[in-house]
Amino acid sequence: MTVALVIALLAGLLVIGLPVALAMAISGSVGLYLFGGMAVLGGILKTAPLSTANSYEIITIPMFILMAEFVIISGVAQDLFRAATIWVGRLRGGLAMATAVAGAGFGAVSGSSTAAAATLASTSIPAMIDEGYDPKLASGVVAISGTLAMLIPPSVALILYGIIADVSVGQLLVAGVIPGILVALTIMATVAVLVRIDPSAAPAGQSYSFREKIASLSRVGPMLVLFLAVTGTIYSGIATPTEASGIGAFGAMLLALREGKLGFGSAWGCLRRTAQTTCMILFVILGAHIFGYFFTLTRVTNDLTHWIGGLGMSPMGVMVVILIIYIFLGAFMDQIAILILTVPVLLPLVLTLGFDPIWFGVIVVVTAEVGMVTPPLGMNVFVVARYTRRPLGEIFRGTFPHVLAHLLVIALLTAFPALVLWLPSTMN
Amino acid sequence: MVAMKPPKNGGAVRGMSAVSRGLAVLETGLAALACVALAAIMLIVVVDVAMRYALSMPLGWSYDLIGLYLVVAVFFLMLPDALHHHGHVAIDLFQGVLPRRFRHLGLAVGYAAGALVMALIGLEAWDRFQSSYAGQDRIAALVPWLTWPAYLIVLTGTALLTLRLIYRAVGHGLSIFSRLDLVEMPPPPETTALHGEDAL
Repeated sequence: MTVALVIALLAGLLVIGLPVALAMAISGSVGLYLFGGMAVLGGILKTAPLSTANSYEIITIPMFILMAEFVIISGVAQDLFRAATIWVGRLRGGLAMATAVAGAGFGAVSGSSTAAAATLASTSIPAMIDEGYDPKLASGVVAISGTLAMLIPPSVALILYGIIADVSVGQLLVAGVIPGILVALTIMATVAVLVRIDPSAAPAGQSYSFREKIASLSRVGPMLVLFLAVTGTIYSGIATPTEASGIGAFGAMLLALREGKLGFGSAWGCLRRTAQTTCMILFVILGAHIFGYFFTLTRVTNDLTHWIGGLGMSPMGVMVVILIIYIFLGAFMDQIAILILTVPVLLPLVLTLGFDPIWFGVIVVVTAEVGMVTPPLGMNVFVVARYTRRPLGEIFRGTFPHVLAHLLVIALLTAFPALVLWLPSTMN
Repeated sequence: MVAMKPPKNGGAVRGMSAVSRGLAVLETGLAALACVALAAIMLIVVVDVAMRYALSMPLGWSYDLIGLYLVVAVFFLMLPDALHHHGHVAIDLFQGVLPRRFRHLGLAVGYAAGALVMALIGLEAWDRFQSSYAGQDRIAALVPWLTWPAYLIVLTGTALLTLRLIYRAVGHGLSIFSRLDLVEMPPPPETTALHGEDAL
């Protein structure tokens, strides 16, 4: 009864529009009070707030966010698209494919999906429209390419999952590499299929000499160095994810400085936005801690695991149901909120069923990507709409073929977990 | 705040605005300290890594300084400012669906309950601050940092957050009886403001 009451309270507070963190903290506190009175509630509120932030490892989140902020103001991300255009722009739909390549490249130095979508929207969509691309195709590919940043390291979503699930952040980040490349290739293949079906949607582009192709890489060099400084050092074991994140943020700051874009005002803006986003994430974690204590004390997770175990479904059948739930939630809820609310409840069940927590983390993030481009809350679509002033419906229709392709990738990663787990297994 | 006509609720609007501005000054000050702490984290990590790999002389105090004070400062000192600017992720799917007064009522109750929870957290932090300050408690590490500054940071952040939450609760409560929104409302759904997923 208490559990039902607390869950109803949480749902009510979320529906009314209260911040997710506050809603979880309030409903969790009410539940703890009903369960054990002020003694239990006071004990949790005494330790949970400081223990949420009192950690060295958690700096990975603000440092990678800061790195992305510095990369964005440096302006070098725009050069990625130009370089990718020179390499693949000759093909029919080449600019759209270049967008996917640039999205993967931007994802390699940024963990923000919406930042990637915004950057790509401001550079690649005008170029595609000028070349006569169908706006639906152009905006759709930008919205879906932005999601690559959530998967390709450094991914803040994977770090957050690692913290919640208490698994190696380094292994999680490296595990995102192959699925990230797979998703990027899938986006390019989808574009190829779309322009084959409707050649008028995208013209063939200009071809460039080999010398021009090599020259284009010079502007991409700093990004490559930054990627190697982060993911390369984590993979090789030279640096821990926390060290790599600090180095990455500092490297990105030097990059912005070199490009002449880092003044006091812009640096202050980067720090403030980063601090605010970090605070938002930590507040959600604090709320989840308080709520999680209530779930632990009332053994909700154990009961759920036993209940599902008693249904007699195969582990893969249960996993398919879980993934469908994630796709459904992704359409209505923010991805951070989904991770915080569901992972503590579902992970014990997933482990009981024999699935690997690293694999599950990557699958959850890939699935959450779908929610970024599906109505009604496809955040990347909103970002693209705002930057391009194109109708939302047009962009949602543009992302639809990519959503179908994305579901195939999820099926592939589910059927072949080695695609996710092989690379981290080779780490030092 | 919405554009408002002076008559009836002019005094209430001005009063609420004045309170909000006063709180905002304090929030901005704490946010500035949070930003300084954030920059310090980056620089300390870089120096620590450089010292460790180049000179085999890592900073023995960096982990504890960052974990005990700086991350705590980034989080707790930024909390009230983030709330003020609607920086905390919320589900706005039902924003345009719920009746205006019902929504104000729900938010008033929600923020009041939030203020109570944060006040409890602040009181617990105050207790721990007092006892650790009286005993001059230190962590057991190479550099035995004092623990009371960490509790003071928690106390400061949650105290100001509690005030902002009370302000919101009162503002939404008064808005039930007014034609005007007497408190800052969240931005319209998604299409005008990024939040939440920005971190991903």
